[in-house]
Amino acid sequence: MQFKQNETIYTQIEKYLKKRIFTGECAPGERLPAIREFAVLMKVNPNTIVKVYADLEQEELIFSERTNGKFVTDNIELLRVEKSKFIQNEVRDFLSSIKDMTENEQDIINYIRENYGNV
Amino acid sequence: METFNIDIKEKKYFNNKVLQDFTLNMPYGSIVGLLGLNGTGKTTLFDCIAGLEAYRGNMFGLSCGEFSYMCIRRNLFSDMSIKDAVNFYADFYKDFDKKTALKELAATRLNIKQSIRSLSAGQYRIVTFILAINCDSKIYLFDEPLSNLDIIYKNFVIEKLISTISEEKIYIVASHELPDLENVFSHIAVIKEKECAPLIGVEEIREQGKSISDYYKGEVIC
Repeated sequence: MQFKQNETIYTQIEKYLKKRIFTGECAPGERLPAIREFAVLMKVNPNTIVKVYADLEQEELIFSERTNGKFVTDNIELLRVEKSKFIQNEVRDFLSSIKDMTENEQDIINYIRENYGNV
Repeated sequence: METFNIDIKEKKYFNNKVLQDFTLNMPYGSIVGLLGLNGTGKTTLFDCIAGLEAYRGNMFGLSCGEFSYMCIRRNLFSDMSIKDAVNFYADFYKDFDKKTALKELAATRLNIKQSIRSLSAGQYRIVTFILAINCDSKIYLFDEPLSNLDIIYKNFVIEKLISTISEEKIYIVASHELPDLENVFSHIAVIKEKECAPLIGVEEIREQGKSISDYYKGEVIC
């Protein structure tokens, strides 16, 4: 994984993991990799992964089973709500990235329509 | 939290002062990237910690023999074979994990009957890395562990560092290969003007919207 170097690594991994959870690549109830295993995979400090898991656990997207490790939540309603929040955040980021060029709502909607299906 | 503290009042070679009023405190569990321009005293600092150089000052939180040092110089006897070097380590360091070292050496596809003299720069580095990391110590000193290594060996070194770091150990890594290691470091220490900038957490630097190399350049230039 390529990281942006002027942004904290844990926020980038959190985003990556959330995306995997919301797309279903990490299914509800699925077990997540062990901390060290995940750290080696991402080539980052294990404490970064500790922080990622702690933050996602705080948001209740994942839960721990004492000795068994970390699992993706199976609360489908929560996943739906969090996913919608996540997408709205992404949309806000997108809008602020084009803000300097256009703020006209109808224009933006037209641009989206034109490109919908091209991705 | 338990820490390892270095307090070097003065280290000089004849009239050339290298380190002066140098203090650095590191918590156990950290992996510290030691940065500094060429010739600022990174290797000298390692030599002082390892007891290879005399200096005026103190170190706290480390007893004799509790460190493992991957030196930049070719310090293994050149007549030895790789296997002899492994046995040498097993004789001298009581907590040396010979089995793992031999396993990892086999994975590097080096012939362990080969003499140390015949090793290329990169091969020599990987052999000394495997020897150093498989000693069970508290403080690990790695002087340019990635220099001369190809991608496969580099990956091996990085993965080994990640998978062995623990709350009871401190890794100090002097390296100019920032892109390979900056995500593995927990802290950065920059040597400048014979002193050391205060230890700073890597995520703290990034929280300010700076990359590690921005921070390094800022510290060295001003």
